[in-house]
Amino acid sequence: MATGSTSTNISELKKIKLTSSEGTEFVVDKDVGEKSILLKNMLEDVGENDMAIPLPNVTGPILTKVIEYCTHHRDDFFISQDDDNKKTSDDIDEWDSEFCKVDQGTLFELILAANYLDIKPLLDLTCKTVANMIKGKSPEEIRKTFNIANDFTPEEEIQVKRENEWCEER
Amino acid sequence: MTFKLSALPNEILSQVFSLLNSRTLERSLMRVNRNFRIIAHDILSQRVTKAFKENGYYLVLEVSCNSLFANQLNFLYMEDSPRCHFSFASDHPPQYIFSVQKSNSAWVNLIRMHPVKTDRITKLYKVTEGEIDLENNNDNFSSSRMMLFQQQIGQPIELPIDNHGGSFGKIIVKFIETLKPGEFKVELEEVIVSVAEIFNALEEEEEELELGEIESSKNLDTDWRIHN
Repeated sequence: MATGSTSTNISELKKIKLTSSEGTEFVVDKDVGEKSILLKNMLEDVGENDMAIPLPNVTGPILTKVIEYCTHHRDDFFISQDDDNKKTSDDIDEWDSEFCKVDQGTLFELILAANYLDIKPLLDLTCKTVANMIKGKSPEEIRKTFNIANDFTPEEEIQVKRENEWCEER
Repeated sequence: MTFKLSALPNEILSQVFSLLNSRTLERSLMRVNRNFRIIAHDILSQRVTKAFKENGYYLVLEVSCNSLFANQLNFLYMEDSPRCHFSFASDHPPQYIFSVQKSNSAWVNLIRMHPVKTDRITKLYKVTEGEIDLENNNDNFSSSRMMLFQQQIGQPIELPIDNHGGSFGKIIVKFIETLKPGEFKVELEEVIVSVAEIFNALEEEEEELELGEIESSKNLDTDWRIHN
């Protein structure tokens, strides 16, 4: 099987079609699309054809953002960061940081899309962004920031407070 | 439709929370709502379990209040207990301190884990060695259990009846098995300072009480780890 440089070049020029949940079609370079492990595996499984790949879990605006991310990072070698010890939420480069300056709804949808499409670096980036939004906030501030309901009963609230009393600043 | 953080699957929330340090998990996320509490607790437990497995490190228990004593020992092992809280940072060196601050409440969980700063550990008093099987010792504190514990370490521990700021001891234990609820054993290594010393220091230096700051006569930077 010929897999030399000629084949690689042809591969880089190839386009794939993606269809968002609303039915909007996106044409992207194959190497960009293959940043998604899900798409990469699908393309390997189905072989070459012109059929659009349906992405029912991803809306058009989110898919646009995902493509923007993958295009920017098309030449990057995505390194797996499976070791939790190596993960921090601080190491976000400038472009990625700007990329994540979106409203919360978009950010969370990006997380879901990255998870669905299996784009680990995008998932890491968006998770780090959310983690940074949590850092330094009190429970009440977190609830307010993310519009989260406090579902503790008054009794549980007392218990939670008591159990965490020790870690209060004194 | 706008997605909310709380609508994300727990698997993803867990991934987000894993990026945060243990203090944030404990101080903030565990107090936001029930689901966050469960996820944060799981992460903390995983971190502790992982560290135990990898390092088998020493723990220093600062214990105050006799009614807390056995309970604190217990909930180190009860990783599946909602009462189990750990402060932990994965990038710390493999020695940690669990400390318990003063409290009257028998079931208030007051454990804090700090990295051991060996230059601040000033004194080590070896008591005995031996295994303490705490397999069945996971109910409420009782004086009989305390007696048992005292027998096992081979030395009585001074435990004033009035527990408000009364008893206060520090014990280093070395974990010799991984955290498995019900199967846990620890090897008691040393009592690092006598109860009386700590209690005296507690009164004198109430505001500055930190492990290792009680006395500063001696640096056992290496000695304290020789039993590893």
